Amino acid sequence: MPFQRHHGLRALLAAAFAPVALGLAACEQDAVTDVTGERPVLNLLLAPGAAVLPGGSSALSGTRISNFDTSVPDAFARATGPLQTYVSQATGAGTGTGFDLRMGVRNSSQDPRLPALVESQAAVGDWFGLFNPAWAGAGVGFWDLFGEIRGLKPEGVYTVVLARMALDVRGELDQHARLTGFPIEQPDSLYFVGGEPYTPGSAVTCNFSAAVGVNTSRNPVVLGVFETDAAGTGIVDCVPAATGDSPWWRSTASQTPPGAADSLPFGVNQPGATLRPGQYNYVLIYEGAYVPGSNQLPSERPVVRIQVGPDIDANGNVINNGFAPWPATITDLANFRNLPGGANAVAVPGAITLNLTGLPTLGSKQYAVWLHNRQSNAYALARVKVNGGAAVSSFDSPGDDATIQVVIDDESGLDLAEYNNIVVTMENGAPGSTPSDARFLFREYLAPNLSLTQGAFTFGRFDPPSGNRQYVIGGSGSASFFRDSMLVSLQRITPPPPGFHYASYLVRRVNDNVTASQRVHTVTLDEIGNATDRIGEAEVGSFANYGFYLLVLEPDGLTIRTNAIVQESEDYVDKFGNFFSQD
Amino acid sequence: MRMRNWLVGLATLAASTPALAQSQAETGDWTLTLRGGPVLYAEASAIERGTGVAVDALYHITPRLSIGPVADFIHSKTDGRYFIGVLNFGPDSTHIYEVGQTINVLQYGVAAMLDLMPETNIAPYLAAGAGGYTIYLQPTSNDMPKRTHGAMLQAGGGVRFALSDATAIQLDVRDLIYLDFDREELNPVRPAHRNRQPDGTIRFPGAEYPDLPEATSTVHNFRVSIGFRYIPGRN
Repeated sequence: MPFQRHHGLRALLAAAFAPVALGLAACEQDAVTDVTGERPVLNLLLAPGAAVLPGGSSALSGTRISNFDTSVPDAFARATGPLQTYVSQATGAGTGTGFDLRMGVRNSSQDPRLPALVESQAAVGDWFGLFNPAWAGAGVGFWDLFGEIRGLKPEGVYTVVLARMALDVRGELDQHARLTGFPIEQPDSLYFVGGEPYTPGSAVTCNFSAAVGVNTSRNPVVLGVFETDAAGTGIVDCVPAATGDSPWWRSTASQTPPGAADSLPFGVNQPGATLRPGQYNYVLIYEGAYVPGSNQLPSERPVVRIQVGPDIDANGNVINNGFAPWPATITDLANFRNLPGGANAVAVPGAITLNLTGLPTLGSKQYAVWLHNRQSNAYALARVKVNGGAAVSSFDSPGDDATIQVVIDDESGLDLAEYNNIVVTMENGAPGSTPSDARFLFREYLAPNLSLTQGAFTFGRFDPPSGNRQYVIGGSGSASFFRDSMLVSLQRITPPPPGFHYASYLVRRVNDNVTASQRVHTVTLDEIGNATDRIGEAEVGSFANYGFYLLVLEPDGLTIRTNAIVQESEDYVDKFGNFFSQD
Repeated sequence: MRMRNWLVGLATLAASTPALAQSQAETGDWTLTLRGGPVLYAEASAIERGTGVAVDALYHITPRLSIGPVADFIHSKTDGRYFIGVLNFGPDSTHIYEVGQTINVLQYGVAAMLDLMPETNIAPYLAAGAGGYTIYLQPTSNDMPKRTHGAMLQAGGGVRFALSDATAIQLDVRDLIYLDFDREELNPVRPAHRNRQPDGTIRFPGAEYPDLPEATSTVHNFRVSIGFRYIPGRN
């Protein structure tokens, strides 16, 4: 055991020869010393500040169906069979029985396939159908294509055509995309297949005054023309007549055809069927009158396209799910799980709009948006549109007092059905293939039960394997001025989210305006969230130049005072004005 | 260096005194010694320099070797720098105090002394002993009578200058070794008001003295004394 250091040899010798009595008397001194003197330690309380934390919300739009098995025959349950649309219906000339075609009238905004339709607002009127010979009463084989079309050019002339068209599927079948809500990236193309174009040798007006024969060699077949009124409404009343080898049912003895597939004008709208020559799957309306005997259509692009039969390939075989009529909307989201292809299908948003707030300007860093798969814990970078701009892989914020609109849509480069969560990160420069650890803002959009969710983002730690953790401001603090130091004691402060750290600032405020600000220290918590922040007056010039102590969240690697004020002191200059003289 | 000079001076003084009397004790003699002088406590003890008096009563087993009871009384005070108290006055202000207190120390035990040259007028000796110490703290500082105690060893030596057959003056240096010493026992500040909290946290680090030594359970304290020895039964 080494000897302890003693008070010095000089003192030892002096004391050794001093009178004992004097020594005893010398010990009687005041044993308590007030080291704070005339200026006591000045105490302050800290309280959670009016923190503006990173946050935001998500809104889903354009809901779609993903993972729908379109290989299943008639996966969308759209086949109508031979006679499902063959019904009794009211017309402008009484009630008749025939194929109801009203649901199939499409204009340019409704059918993007090629050849592209001429732009119009055309829409079906009160009725449109192909009525049977019994009701038409014109004779055996004489049908009546009778209906009303609105939204055409006023007092215009239009040509009505029956067509047998094959579909060149380019990429995904357009009907699949339309039925599941996904965008059509490459429109399919329709073309005439089989037969030769036919125009009557004379001008035929579709006013139930003249018939035009149809047979297996005529395709497309001009049925006549009609004129619109001043409102752009026209009545189509053409009489196609099954002649020769036409497979059309032509009896007038019954209202109901025998149902044989090869006797229907439009074929059978179901899987496995074949549209024979002489059967037609489209009614086309062209602007302008045809030239009699020319065997040419008025133009290449029709104005209205009415799908009356199934889409077929070049051999006339029905394309699965390519049924009539061309779909106008996506499949009912409430019912899609009951469809044949819906066992593994999920509803996904077409676009997700994020309104992000409280994001500080990073400058040398960037924000990035990632999609995360719950099961594989895989991340994928989403290209996003920020405040209406072009799609980008990363972005910065103009400040934490701004709201940033971030849109994830078809240009994100990702299939939203493959992921579940949206995660906002901070990246050191351009994002790589995996996100940084600064995964601080997150929101689920596809729940485990495959339901879609939207709403507020969570600020905190996104780390599913270890457990996500929401950041909640917690803890308390106090501060004291002792000698030439300000001593701040922080207790049980919530650990900062990944990508952030705590920093202390001294600021002077006038109303809500910060007129002076001094960053002081990076504050590191111990394992239980405690920390001591000792600020020497020499570090800040003079304490009197400020008034508030702030503990704020700062992005890692940056020294910027954010509005994420976690703890804030009283105004010590206001409270202890007598002890502070401002420079 | 100064100590060495001082010892040389003493030797010179002895050598220049030709007619000093002998004060050699014989077997069976008792010697009584009254000593006094400063006690230099180890810095880690948090006790400042004190002043004490001591009484030895030694029985000579041989002319060289004696043994007997010894007792010391020391008056001192603790060093307030080790005991920082923090008191709040209202919510806004705090005073920080260095809290010392006067103490009295009673040391007791048995010591043995070995005279190296008992037949000479200037007789060096060695001494060693064992016993205990009790530190009496201020009741006014601790809100109640309080004391702490522990075992003690001592070792040292000195030089005796004979004045006559029965009397002598002796200069003595001892190492008083406190065992089981707990410095915190000397802290009069209530735990709630201590700057250094029981969990180790320090409320005002700036009020602490970073250069102070850490507490130890064994401390070595030095006592230097001048004593007067008397051999009863001699003239």
